Amino acid sequence: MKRNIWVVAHHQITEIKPVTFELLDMANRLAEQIDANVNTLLLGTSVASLSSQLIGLCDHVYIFEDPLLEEYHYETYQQIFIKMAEKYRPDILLVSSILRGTDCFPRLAAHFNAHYVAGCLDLSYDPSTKLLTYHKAVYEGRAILEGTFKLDRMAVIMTRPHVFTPSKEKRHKETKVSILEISLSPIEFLTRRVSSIKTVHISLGEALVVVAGGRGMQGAGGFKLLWELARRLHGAVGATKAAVDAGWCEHRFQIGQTGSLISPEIYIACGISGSIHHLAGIQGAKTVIAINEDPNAPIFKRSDYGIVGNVFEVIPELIQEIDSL
Amino acid sequence: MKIIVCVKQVPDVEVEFLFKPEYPGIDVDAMPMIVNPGDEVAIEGALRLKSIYPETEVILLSLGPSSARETLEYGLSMGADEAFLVLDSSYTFGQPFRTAHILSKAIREIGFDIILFGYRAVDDRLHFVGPAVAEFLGLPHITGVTFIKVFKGINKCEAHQEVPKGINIVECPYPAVFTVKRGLFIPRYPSMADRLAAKEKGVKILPLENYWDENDANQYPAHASMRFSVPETMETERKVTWSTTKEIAEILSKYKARTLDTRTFLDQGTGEEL
Ligand SMILES: Cc1cc2nc3c(=O)[nH]c(=O)nc-3n(C[C@H](O)[C@H](O)[C@H](O)COP(=O)(O)OP(=O)(O)OC[C@H]3O[C@@H](n4cnc5c(N)ncnc54)[C@H](O)[C@@H]3O)c2cc1C
Repeated sequence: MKRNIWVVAHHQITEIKPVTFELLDMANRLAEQIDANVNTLLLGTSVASLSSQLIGLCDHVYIFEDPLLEEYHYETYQQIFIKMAEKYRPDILLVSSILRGTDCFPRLAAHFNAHYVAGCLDLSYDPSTKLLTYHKAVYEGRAILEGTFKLDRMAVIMTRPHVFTPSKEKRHKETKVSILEISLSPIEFLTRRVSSIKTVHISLGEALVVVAGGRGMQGAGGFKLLWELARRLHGAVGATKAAVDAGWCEHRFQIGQTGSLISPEIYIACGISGSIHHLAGIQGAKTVIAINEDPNAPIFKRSDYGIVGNVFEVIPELIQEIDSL
Repeated sequence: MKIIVCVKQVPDVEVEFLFKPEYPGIDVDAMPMIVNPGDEVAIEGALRLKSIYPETEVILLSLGPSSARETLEYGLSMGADEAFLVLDSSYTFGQPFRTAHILSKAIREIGFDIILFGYRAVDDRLHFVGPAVAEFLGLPHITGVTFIKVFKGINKCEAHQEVPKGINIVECPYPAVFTVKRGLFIPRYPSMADRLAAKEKGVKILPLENYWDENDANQYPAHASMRFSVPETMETERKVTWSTTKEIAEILSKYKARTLDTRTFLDQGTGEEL
């Protein structure tokens, strides 16, 4: 019997997000090894028109629209995924950790006693042993775990963003589009969002460009420069532990072993020496650019591009160059 | 009010990292062990609530080998009132369902109003056990919170939940489960006198067999194998090209078009890299 891989689509107002194509690429490669159908789940208040962007990329698109999805609420998602799983029996549910991840999916896995992987870096299946293999960072990024398990029950797998290639190769001759046939029961919400404080436009995890600062930025004022640069690149700002401990930046922006592990396309290290603790957080970065006044700073050994100079001269100049392009 | 904080003993990978490719990936016996830093933050959160409601009992709970006693003693020295260790000499990395099962049963026995977990453990980086305990006990949960307020008269909690682009203020009735992140809660350092007093207070041992029967394992997922390696990029160096700001600006401008599409991403969920 054919297995079923389900991908949860990520979208913004009118567009399927690139991370969905990463997940689909992964799912399609896995489907060849497992002999599985690839299904995409599109959830939202009005998402049906987005399905056209998924034609050729999977076997089946399932759409679920409900006004309740106007606002993110784990209890809504919990119910949708439970009902979906009971009816459609997915073998693998693939979701990117940048979306609504840590709230809803661990609890979903616990509900079904399902396999649960978080921070997945890749997936493969060996038909001879019937084992699924994944890799993920453990011990704060100091080691990589290669885990294998049998697909004897559902597997809920959350992947790190930007680690797969967002491919739009049309591998499916036909893609069916249907409505997900479940009905929500009225939910008596226990948790309720009262208000929000928005502090940044792009999160560290989803940003393709991250501009990070270290002790070399010399103060919260220095970090303003980084926000300026990041804004122009539609990127996010990160920091070393030294900068966070000094109070120049909030802890949630810390990158490294005791902070976030990120995988942006471009990482710009400003006034950062490149300690092993910090580097553990940026292993996934595709291109590393460093600005440091010390040509012997270890960060340059891990950089693709380097500028030797004072950040307070180089960054304003860089901003000017970008503005003039 | 009874607050249970679940804590875990983990290897101190900052001090040194004694890697081995076989399970569990490190030389456990030779590694220094500490309280999981995230759990220390959760203990601090509980103690802050106690400072507002002095009649609050802060109770620590851990599952682990006898060395985990030190972890709990450390928590007691921070100011917790009581500590329980479900003693499991064969406690191993990578069995989160088993952990959640055992903790849920022990929590039910101890009694609770609020249950706190650290956001994630340094070893498995899963963020699973907190939400799983909430599921097993049928309680609401709020993840990734940096601040908790309790309104005792009306049986309500309000928490600041960190989301990728800011903070949501979320309320729920209690009993409830929270996973706590470092934000406002900076763990206090116990004094030497506190540490000695904690030894005095002592850790109460709970027998594993009250909470786990080997047959329980059948209902939960299991790994077929686990192997470990050191990430490649930690060893490989990159070749730096010395550049001018103009060259860098040109490289960056190529990405501008692509980065644009992340700009309006509407996301109120808790997205977090694990
Ligand atoms: C338990 C533990 C956990 C840790 N976890 C983390 C972690 O998660 N993340 C993390 O980042 N660190 C972590 N560290 C800290 C880490 O070891 C380093 O201390 C830290 O990363 C150094 O930060 P830095 O590069 O900003 O500062 P420094 O090492 O002080 O480097 C500053 C750099 O700025 C340059 N500089 C100074 N002024 C200028 C200027 N005007 N223009 C240009 N360049 C300039 C200097 O040449 C220098 O290279 C941890 C450490 C420990 C012990």
